[in-house]
Amino acid sequence: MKHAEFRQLFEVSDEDLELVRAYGKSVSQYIDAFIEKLYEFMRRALGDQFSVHFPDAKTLDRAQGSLRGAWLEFWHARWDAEYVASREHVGNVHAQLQIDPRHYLAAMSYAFKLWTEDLAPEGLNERDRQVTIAAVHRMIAMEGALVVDAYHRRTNEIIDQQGRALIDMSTPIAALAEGVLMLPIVGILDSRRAQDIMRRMLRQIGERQAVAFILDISGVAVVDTAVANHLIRMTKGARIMGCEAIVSGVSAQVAETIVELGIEIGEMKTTGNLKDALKLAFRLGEVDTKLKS
Amino acid sequence: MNGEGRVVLQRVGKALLVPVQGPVTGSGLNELRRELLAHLEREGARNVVFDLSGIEVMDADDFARLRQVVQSASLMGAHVMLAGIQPGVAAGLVLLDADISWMRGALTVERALKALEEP
Repeated sequence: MKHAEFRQLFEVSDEDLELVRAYGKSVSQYIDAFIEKLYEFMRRALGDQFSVHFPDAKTLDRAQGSLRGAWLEFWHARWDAEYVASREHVGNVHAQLQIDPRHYLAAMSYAFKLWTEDLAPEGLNERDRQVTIAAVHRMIAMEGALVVDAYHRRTNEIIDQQGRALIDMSTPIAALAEGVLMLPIVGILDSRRAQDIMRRMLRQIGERQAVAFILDISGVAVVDTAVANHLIRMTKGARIMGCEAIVSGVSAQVAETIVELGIEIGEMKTTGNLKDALKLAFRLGEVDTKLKS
Repeated sequence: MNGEGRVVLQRVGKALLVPVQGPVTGSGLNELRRELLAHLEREGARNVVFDLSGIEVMDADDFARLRQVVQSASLMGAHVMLAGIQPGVAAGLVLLDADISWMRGALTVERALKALEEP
């Protein structure tokens, strides 16, 4: 269970929860003053961005309302699955709104200061005050970690989605002639994308009975050992299906890099420009057409 | 092979067509090898085309056995081509970084037969 895992990680004991609850009973009454001060702080911290996140009175009101609710919940110190889920939701919302984690964490740090200094109740002896503050600190740190965790995960999900969308957009396989296909690869060729491209490429070779396949890499940002290996795999896969893959667009710089890195390209066919690749591919296409007749 | 046991080698002109169907299991391939090599011994070396279009999955062990069959046939002087390897199988093999240098592929049986007839 996640809530248990976090409690263990931040060493929050049952006693801590008890202390936070008791402290909450005496400070909860200052919630309105707290909200006001915290928003003053956020206005300072966010500067121009404040009005981006809170464009009108209604939005501000709603945000303050949910913050109020969140902190009253916090002082109940009910650290269970339901509470954890609600904090994760906060993280997702922050990610969605693109609020920087540093601003969130700064606000949490300021909130800690407000609750334990500015709004601290009278009448606690020094020892009790110290243990309580330490417990509150652990709770706030734990909550911050949870929110940033969720934020981080959500951001990665967004990046993944964008990456997939980009892959789909950036692998248009074109039929140039009977049995001749071409795919210009643009951008960064990491191993996930390379596998994806290879699967599409081989499927298309099967479906369209291609005998020649041009992979144009003039738009590939970096050609290093990993990228070269991906290209070699693609051409090998095509070859065992009976299709010759030609890598075109090998620039002078890429050629030098490949030699400098000592990459063994084996039987992979490469050309400097697209024109030569097309000539080669069309010849293979013609041979195949003759064979078939 | 589908467990029914018999391997049917078909003569197509001067060439020999070897249909590989169903799951490529060890015993099936062993039987295929015996049949094929016996045939080559009897009738002499010729062009041999393996039809792999019906194979959807091939793991490293199957691949190694297939290689043994093909290489034994080559040692007896046969010219071997593999026809109709499915995209999924091809992707799987290269992702395993299998050595494919011994393989000559063709999109279809027809193309393989034609290619073998070329001088």
